[in-house]
Amino acid sequence: KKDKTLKNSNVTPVTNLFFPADNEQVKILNAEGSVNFEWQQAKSEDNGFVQYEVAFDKEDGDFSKPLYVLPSDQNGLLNKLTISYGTLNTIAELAGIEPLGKGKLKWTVMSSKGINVKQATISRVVEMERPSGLRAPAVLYITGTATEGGDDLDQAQSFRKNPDGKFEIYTKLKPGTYHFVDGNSGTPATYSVAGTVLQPDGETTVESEKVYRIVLNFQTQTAEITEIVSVGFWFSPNGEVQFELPYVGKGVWQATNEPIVFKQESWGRDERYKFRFTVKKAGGEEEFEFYGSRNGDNGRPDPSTPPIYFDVVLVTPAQYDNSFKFNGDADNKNVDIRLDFGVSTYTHSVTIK
Amino acid sequence: KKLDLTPTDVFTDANFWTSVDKASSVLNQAYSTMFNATPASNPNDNPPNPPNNFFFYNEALSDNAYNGRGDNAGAASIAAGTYDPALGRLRDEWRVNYTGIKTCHIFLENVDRVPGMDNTLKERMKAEARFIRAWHYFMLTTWFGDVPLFTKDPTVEETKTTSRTPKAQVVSFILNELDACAATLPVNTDYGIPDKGRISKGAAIALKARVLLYESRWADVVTECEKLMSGNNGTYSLFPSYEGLFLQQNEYNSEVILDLQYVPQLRAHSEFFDIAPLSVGARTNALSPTQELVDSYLMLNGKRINESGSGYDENNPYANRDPRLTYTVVYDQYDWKLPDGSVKKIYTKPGTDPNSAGPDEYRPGGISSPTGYYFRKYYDPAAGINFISGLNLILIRYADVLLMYAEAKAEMDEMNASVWNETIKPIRQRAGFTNPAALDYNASANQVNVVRNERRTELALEGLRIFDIRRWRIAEDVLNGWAHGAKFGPPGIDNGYIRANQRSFDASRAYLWPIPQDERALNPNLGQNPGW
Amino acid sequence: TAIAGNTYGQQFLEAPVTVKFKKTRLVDALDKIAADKHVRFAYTDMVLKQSLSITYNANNKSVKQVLSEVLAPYNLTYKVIGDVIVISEPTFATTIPGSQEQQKQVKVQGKVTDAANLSLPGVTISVKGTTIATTTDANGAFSIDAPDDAVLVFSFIGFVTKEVPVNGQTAINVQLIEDRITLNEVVVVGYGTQKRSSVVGAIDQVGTVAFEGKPAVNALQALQGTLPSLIIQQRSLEPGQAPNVNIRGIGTLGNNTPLLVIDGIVYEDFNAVNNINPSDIETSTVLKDAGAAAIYGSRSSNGVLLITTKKGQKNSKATVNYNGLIGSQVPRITYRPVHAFENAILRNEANVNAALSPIFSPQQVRDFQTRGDREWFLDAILQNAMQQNHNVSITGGSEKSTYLVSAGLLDQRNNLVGPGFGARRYNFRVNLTNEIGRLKLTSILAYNRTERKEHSFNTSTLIVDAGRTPTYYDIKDENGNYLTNDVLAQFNPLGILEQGGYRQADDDGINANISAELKITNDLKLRGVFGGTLVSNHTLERVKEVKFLPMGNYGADRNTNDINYKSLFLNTQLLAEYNKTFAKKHSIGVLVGVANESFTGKGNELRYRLTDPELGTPIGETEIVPSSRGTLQNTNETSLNSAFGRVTYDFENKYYGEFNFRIDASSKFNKQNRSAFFPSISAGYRISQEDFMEGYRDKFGDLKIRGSYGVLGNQNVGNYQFQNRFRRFPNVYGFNNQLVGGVDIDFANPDLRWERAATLNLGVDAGFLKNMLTLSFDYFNKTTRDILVEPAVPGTFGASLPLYNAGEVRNQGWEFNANYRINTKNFRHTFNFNVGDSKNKVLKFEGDQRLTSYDEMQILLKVGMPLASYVGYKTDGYFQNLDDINNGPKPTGLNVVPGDIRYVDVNKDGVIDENDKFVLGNPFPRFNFGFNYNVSYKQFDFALFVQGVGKRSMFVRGELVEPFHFNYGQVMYQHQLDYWTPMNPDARYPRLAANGSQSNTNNFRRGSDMYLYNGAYLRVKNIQLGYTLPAKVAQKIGMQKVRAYFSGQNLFTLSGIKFIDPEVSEFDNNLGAGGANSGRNYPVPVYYGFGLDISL
Ligand SMILES: [Ca+2]
Ligand SMILES: [Ca+2]
Repeated sequence: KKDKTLKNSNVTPVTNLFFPADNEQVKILNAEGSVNFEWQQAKSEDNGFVQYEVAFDKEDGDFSKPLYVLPSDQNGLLNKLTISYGTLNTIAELAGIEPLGKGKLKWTVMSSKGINVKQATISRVVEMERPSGLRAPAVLYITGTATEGGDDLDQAQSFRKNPDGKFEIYTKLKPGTYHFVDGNSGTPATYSVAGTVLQPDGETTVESEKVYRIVLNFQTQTAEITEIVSVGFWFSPNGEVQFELPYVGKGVWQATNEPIVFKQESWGRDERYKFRFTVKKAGGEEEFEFYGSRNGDNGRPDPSTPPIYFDVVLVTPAQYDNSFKFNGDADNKNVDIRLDFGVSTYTHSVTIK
Repeated sequence: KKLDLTPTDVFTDANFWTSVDKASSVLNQAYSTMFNATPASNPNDNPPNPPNNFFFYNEALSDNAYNGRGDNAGAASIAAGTYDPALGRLRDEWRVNYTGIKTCHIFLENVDRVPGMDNTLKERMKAEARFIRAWHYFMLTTWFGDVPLFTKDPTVEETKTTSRTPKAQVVSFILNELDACAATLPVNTDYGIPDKGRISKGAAIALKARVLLYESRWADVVTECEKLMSGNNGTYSLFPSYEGLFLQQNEYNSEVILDLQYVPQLRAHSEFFDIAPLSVGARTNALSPTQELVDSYLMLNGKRINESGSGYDENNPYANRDPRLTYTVVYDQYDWKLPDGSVKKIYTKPGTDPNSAGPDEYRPGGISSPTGYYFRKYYDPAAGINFISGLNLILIRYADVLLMYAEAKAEMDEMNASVWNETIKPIRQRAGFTNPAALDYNASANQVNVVRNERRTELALEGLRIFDIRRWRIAEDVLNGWAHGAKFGPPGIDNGYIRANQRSFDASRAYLWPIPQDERALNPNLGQNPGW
Repeated sequence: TAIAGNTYGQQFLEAPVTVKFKKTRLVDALDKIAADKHVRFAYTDMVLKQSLSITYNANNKSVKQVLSEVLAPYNLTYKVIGDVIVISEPTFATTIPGSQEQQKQVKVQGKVTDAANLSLPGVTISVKGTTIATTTDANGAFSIDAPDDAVLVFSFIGFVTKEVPVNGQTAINVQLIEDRITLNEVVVVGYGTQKRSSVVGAIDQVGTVAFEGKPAVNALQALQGTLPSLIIQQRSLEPGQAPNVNIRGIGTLGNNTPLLVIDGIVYEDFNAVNNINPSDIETSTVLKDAGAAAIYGSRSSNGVLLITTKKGQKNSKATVNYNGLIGSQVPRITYRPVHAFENAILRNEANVNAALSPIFSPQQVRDFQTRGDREWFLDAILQNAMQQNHNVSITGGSEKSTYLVSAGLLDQRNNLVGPGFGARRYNFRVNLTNEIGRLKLTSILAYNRTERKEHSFNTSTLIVDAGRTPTYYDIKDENGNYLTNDVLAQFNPLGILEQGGYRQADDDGINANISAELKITNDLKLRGVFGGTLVSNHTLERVKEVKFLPMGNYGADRNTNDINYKSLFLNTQLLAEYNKTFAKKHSIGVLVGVANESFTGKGNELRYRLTDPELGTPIGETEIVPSSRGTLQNTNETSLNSAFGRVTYDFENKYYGEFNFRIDASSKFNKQNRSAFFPSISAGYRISQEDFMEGYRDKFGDLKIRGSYGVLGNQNVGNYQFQNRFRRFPNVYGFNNQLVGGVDIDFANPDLRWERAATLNLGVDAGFLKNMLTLSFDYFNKTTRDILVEPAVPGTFGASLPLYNAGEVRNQGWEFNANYRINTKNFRHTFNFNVGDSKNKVLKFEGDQRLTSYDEMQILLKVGMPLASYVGYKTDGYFQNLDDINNGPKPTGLNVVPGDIRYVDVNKDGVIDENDKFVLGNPFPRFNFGFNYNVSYKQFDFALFVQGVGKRSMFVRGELVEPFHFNYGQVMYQHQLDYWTPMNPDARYPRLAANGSQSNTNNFRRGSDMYLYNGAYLRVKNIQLGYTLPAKVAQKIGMQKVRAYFSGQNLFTLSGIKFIDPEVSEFDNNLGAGGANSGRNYPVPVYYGFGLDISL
């Protein structure tokens, strides 16, 4: 039988843009704040709603592959859009505008009902001025005598790029110096930290050997260095750390031959677990962070369980929530548990002995 | 087989009114009609209870809450003002109360047949039944105004022709009955342990105070409240913990004057299944607090959030607030105590839950709370699967008596430091306020407004707000326009507070509910309330 | 009538022949004997039934001898006329003694032909009142000497006898017309049988043809549409679900279920008919009018369905029949969701129209489009399911006894996925008859077992939940976890089906029936019947816990329920029957009897929660649920004593009179109301038998008119309702956290008594085209008084009241039945068409009317109106623009916008309120019709069965009507795309607007004719195409008969409503409804199957 489909889902293009004026200069501040974009409404064929998206492109672009697209306010409903400085900075960076530099961007509005997108008949240019700030590289490594890879550039350990654009690494630093590079060959650009500030070039000196989490934010030029005091195996039924996982290098912790005994509960045997990190913040106070499963509740894995099950993410401290489960065979056995934060998706594995 | 067969599982007229035990079961039945939190679908019911989940959903009739899914107990359509006389809730309210009245009548008119019954016991039980009947008439007259008043079990024919008795007459009947009950019933402490939960002298006085309050008979309210505050008609005091007041282990505490009785698993309610955050085991949310309720909670310094110097931070809105907020409403980043004592953080702000599913996060059109808030009060950590709870639901408590007293005094312009120190201050102290600015009497404030707001926050989710906004005649103000949720909405609209539900209240008629359409069809003499 | 061939009569009889028959059909055997001998056999199908078979060997015997031996077992004889050998039943001597006056003789010559002008050999021509007789020759010619004032009587088996006065003629050519087969048919009536020709009541009967080759899972399904006035509606086609049945529509406000009688035994539970193996059923008879039904007195006002089961035949060899049918049931869902991305756009639209934000950003919409649709949950939980029926029977008989032994298996798998869901029914039956001198003993023993396994939840919830999920959600993740989502936050229907436990029923039923008939004299018989039904039902319910991701679980209570029910029904009857014909003209029959029916049912239900998760057995934490019930809480007893009788009289098969009565005394009523008398009288006049109608008879056929009037009863009420009942139960309230008990009071109606239905029936049966076309028409008018009505009690009374006798309803209607047969050279066609209608009207009702809310609509019961009419607003298009809104009537308190429904303002006060409601329609199906067409061509046969309803108004609501219904549903279906926009101003549905908005309230929270649909339909219910192996081929492989066929069920439907199945009814048999039809039923499957019929 032939499907009936939605009709009259066409819209008209936007024909007039209101704000900002053509060639208006926008200075992006390193602060909370926003800029308003506004345009004339389009019409839909069925007299219903129209959704809008604002698209940015290079000055000479034609919006066929826009640099950045945002729905208008109220999930695309309103004929205006309030863009925060942070987002504008990202757009400017995508357009290749250097920190503290100026550059021109083109913007226009797409009208649609989600499908049948119509590009506005006109577009405007806006000149943006970026605040100071480093331009985030595509990739980032840590190198230097204090690092696990030593001075050898091609042994440099790589950062993971988080969804929010920050770079994150778990690594051990020993006495010596370290800095960051945007490539592991040739003569890459270098960066370093001074206190909590991320700066171009330079080096940082380390005095004692510890495991750290380093998070670098190029947008705000800040660094957050957290000491990982220990990593514990959290046995949820008992609500306590049963044993610790020693650090073995390159963001990996591993415990070997640890006995696992599921806990007998009235309804069966419970073996839920996650990981508790003891971290020391820059201020010196110790805190716990829990890492566990994306799922609030899990079934027992078996050999066919896909790797995604073992992904490790930051979770709630609640005793049972977001715990993993062992394969049923692990009960009363010894296991090796390996926690790998040296890869782009943090994961762990369990080997039953 | 012979033709004279007798049933094996039921009594008939001939052999029923023969024992106290059987007669009591009729009174028990009457008790169960008072209010009922349990939806009819509870599989443990035998027979199923009437479809009456008014206790919780009445809150969504008011500006305190929003019934965002379905039309439970008619709360969604009544609050939005989109109902007409055909609405099921109207008929149900009518029928539930008259069913209770009939049960009382049957008891009252037959209990004398029981041979050898102890007279004191009989008189006490009759008084209990008369209280319950008065309760039902109070409900009916509060919702509908004039209603048919029967003082004995009517015949079908009578119910088809009777006209409505004026509200004043109904109220006067209720008040007389409650006086008679109060004269007969024992005080709360005179009941034995197995009788905990029965209607006492104090309950009769307290209900009378409430009836008078709804009539704005302030001086009479004061008289009745004083009877209870004097300690001569039962022993009552505020329970030290506001949170603990609503926990099973503290049932029958000194603050409770009358509560609905529930027994774990066996006679239980489970509305919280539709009320609690989803991540702690609830399903699709159906009842959620409004931003308006949240905003009504004071700052710890006793100021309203919009008062100058309140210290209210819109970006950190739940800090330094009346501690009762935390025991009533679940907000973003709330630490929910699980039954095992561990804590689960509730993330209601979109995109903040580290668990990627983010079940409690606000999503327009989703199944999580449409306001970004959940209710916490009456959550029973001892509840069974799917929140099946035996936690008693309080109908009248001593704090209410103090608030009624304070309100009457304020209305009579007699609020002063001593009245304050007897009423609002101990209530706030118990709530956890310590700042003298919040605890001490402030003569320059609008006392009526202060008491009204205190009443709103102290008694939130106890089903009383709707009656208060009706008798204060402010429903047309608070039930018109949008009910809001947390600041998760588009920034350009209403300052970013979610528009949860558009409401309208037609003051020309909606202060009385219409007589249900089905009832008018059966009895044309009922007439209709103005404007309907 | 098969006639062909040439000369050689007597020679042929002497010719030697060698034959060998093994279970050969007699007709085929004769063909073989006649092979190459230039002779032919003539017989009618009535005499030489296709079913007769022989096993016989002859070596060089004469044809004469062979014929005698072959025909003897069937009590047949033959006669040679020219080269035609006519097979007939032996004619008994009709010699009338006494002398004949000599009169003037003439030689009359002529020819006898049939309706097709073919000559008829073997016709007996006799002179009326004498022994003078002759027969026609091979060419149909005759010659006879007769007095000139004589009357010649032309008779031939299978044809209507014709009398022609000679009046001095010498040449008389006569055309005989075929007798209506049905006139000789034996019709089952209450406590006996009658010949069709003498039936004067309104009775419909259908034989085995109703069941053959249909993939019906129970007898009622197969009977649907085969009998006019038997209205069968399937509420759900889930395996094991029983349909609604009523006869001639709705006549009472209470229970409309007919009475069921199987092999003379009354059944307490009508649904017992579904435990019978349809292939064991010989006849299904519906008694419609008072004339026919009054003998069942107090329970007959809803009509009676009589079933008889097959028996063996005397003097027949053992025959083994097998028939089997295997096929697939394909679920047919007639509504489909729109594409995922369209759904997102439409939800945005609904939200924006309700002044809310769009739910999906444009990018999300495009992502849904790019990603494509996920499998719709409803598709995921349905599957094609196998269904098979197998039946084997052995029948036969000797001179004094017959036997039938049969076994059947029905296996119907469930269209819902899940482990082993489906129903199986096993049937065994032994039917024996024995004659011991004057005593005839009939013994029937039948056993049935039904095993049904289904999921532990609720089918309509599973269906609706699955259907309301948009296609952007996955039902399972890659790890096999069942997923919940924003629509189904708590349950995943697939998870419940596959892992949530089951409900398993194993029901056993034993029916035993012994009847002994003693012939005291040739005219007087005594009969004693003792029958009983023992039913033992057991259901085990297990709920297993299933956890879903990211949240939700099912069955955390881990319930295990054990439900037992056992009942015994005993029926004892003692009857005397006297039949006598006086003076060859007056036939009188008298039947009187007494009976008792006793019923005892006992049940218990043990319900546990928190049982062992694996075994379901009690463990430490297990609790007994208070709704468990012991036997004392669940015992039912009834008893009924009766006396009844019938007197029939017929004069010369022309005039018929009949009187029936019954006196019943029932335990359901108070002593003073306990007994009631139910009489009826009937009369019939077969006009075509009159001499003056001879011309008519020759030209057209039979003509009979008949009428009846009587009073019938209905005692379908619960037990003990005449006394106040106080039912105690344990958990009404609690004090100090301890449970206290309560009591439910059921108020009595001490005056409760029978409903009494006075029924008038007028009917005519007529033949046309020389009886090739037969029509019958019945008109009835039934007025039911003292109807048991649930009184309309104001809520103010505080309780409901039991049924009381307060209503009066008239139910008028008609039925029309047409049969047409026509045979051409190669084709044999039969057509049947039946249609019936009934209209009811409330004549009296306490308080004149009752209006009850019924979802969005209201249901009206009002004097002068049909029962149960829909009441609501009438739509008047849409508000198209602001002008319309400013000037148009609006519901109070609501702001409307263009695209919202405008309602008719009856009183023109500008406001839409309850004063503006209309009676919008009536839900009862009218003009129920059925059409059967059978045709055979050589070895092929084809059957078409069409069934439907001519008029019906259907209230449909829920997510299939309202997009995103209450936010419970988040899917829009394709048929809902016809919603209002300025481009579509005449849409079927108003504009989209999310739940809670004023528009939504105006459009969907008000009951209106927007919710009413035309429920008329025509459905090709069954098609069969078969092929029968030629007898010779079959014999070669050792079979008597082999037929293979294709059978298709529900293949095609024409309907006024496209998106749900029009046949599925929301009503129960009392026209009560739990709610409107929201299309949440188990889907009606389309069936394709292959069957085989084999006789050995
Ligand atoms: Ca309790
Ligand atoms: Ca009007």
